[in-house]
Amino acid sequence: MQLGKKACERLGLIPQRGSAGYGTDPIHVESRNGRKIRISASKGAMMNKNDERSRRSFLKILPLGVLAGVIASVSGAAFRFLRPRLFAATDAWLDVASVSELTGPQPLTRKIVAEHIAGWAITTEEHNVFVLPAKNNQVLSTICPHEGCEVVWEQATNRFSCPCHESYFAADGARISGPSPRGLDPLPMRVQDGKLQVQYVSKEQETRA
Amino acid sequence: MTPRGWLQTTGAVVGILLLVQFLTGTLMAFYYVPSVDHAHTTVSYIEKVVSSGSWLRSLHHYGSQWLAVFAFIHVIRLFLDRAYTSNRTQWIVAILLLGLVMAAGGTGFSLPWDARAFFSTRIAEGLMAGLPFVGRYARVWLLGGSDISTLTLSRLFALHVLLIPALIAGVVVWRVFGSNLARLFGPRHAIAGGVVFLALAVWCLKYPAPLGPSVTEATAEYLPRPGSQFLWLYQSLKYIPGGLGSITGVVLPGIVLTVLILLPWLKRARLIGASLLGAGVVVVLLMTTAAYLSDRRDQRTREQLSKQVAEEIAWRREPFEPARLTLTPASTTTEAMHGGPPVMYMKFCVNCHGEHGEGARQGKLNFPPLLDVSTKPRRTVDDIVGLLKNPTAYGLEPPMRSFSTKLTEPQMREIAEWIVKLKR
Repeated sequence: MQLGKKACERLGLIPQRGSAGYGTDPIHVESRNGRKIRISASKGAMMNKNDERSRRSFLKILPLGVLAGVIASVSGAAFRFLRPRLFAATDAWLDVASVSELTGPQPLTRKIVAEHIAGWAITTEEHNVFVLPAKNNQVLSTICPHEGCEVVWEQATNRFSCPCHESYFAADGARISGPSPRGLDPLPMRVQDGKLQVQYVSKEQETRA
Repeated sequence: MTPRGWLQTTGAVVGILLLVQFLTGTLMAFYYVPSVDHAHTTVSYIEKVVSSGSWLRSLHHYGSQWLAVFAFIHVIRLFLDRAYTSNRTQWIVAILLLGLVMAAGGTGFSLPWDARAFFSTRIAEGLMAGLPFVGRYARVWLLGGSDISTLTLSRLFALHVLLIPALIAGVVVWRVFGSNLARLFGPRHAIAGGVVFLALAVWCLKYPAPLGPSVTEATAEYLPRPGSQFLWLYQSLKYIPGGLGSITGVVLPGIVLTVLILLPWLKRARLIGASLLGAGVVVVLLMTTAAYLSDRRDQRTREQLSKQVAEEIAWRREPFEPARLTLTPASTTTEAMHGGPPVMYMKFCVNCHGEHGEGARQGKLNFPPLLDVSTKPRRTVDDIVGLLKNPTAYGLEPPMRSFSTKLTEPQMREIAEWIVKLKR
């Protein structure tokens, strides 16, 4: 493999025309795949001393080595610095509503307030969930199993619909049509002191499961 | 190798230090937030929680000070080599870099938003305000308003991480473009650059960048001190009557740098350059030494400064305290979940019925309390929702009016659910 002479000069692999050392030794450098590249700076020039050659190639590599060392030491720290902190799934039980008010044949939309610890902030976020009084107060996630958009309840057509890619779900959460691979996901729930409670599971944790 | 030969490496050292500033600065931008309510939290997070955060911030902090020193030495070295005649680009680039590096240091000092940062912002404000002719405008343009605010922090941030680095990058590209990289960064340059970086890296392992408690916790006794590259200015301002500070801090350095840039085209360049740079070296060395000495000599200052150091160490040991964010639409009820009144109650009901549903009396008008209202007949959640739509149907008289046009059904339900829980 031959590099253009001009390029070699620019990269500093060979001395520039007119500068000291021009036109003496050919120089060997390692290419990326480990093969030796011979750079024909001066045809016919013979190698005199091996140690002279190694001293030269060491001097060529030194600047790159120092540069690489600086970048590597900062990048090594950068890897640790940027590594995301995985926080354990929160297993807190969150209040949805009093069981006594969950009545009727229709799915009900209720809000839960979940806290996420993310980096330098504790973030309080509100999420909708569906409660199915007709199905023993089962709680469904509003997150579409397809791409994670928020599904809404359509009173008029008596079904859940996803605003993004037209997935439809029946009043019990079962998939009717559209790209969603399955029905709406049930959330872990329990009843404590007359209150319906759930554990909030985010989309990311779902995909891992 | 002669010492003269090693002097040729100052440019490479500046280059390596610039590289370190770009790398560490980019990394910190992954966490930093330029707003007065989160800036200090995010910097504390970098400092106390994130792996290697303290080291990287220290590299950036002390690196900026070393950079200023080496940029200055670089200019002097080029002057001694008469680069202003032999290589104009190199000369102009070096002067521009010195100015830009100082500007980057000045804007960056405000960002952590501890007491030290706040006072640095005050000084920047004062320096702008004292500028002849344009002072009033320069000040409000820097602050983004009539006083220091969160906008000020955004402006200093934009200058520090976007504008000034872009100019530095442009200047560096101008220098490197078309020159032989091997000459700019040969073996000897590499050794000098590597040694300086190593020294900086070890220094930063030992000394974390200073960071105190948030400016909101600062006491009146706090004594601010600038970064060491600005100590000369800090000390000079002590001797200069008010109003002339900007001349020393901004106008004079600006004129000096401009003249130095124009040096290649001036007659008697050697004389002009030598006197300007000579005066610069004398002022910087003298004033920096004076600043150190005056802090040592005065006992009260010394005590207060060591107290501040102790406070910072104590604060550093405290665990990181995360900020609290709320990502909920305003119409709904985080507070309600924690027992407070719903937002819409606070908007429409609170003026008459009180913050806790305690009711009120205004002249002959009597606004009934809502406490224990659920024990009365026809006051279930559904009743209250109906009542909000049509009060007369529930036997209520003006000034209670219908809210069917003001509130949505879920909002009424939310208010009703809160009201039925009110107990005396």
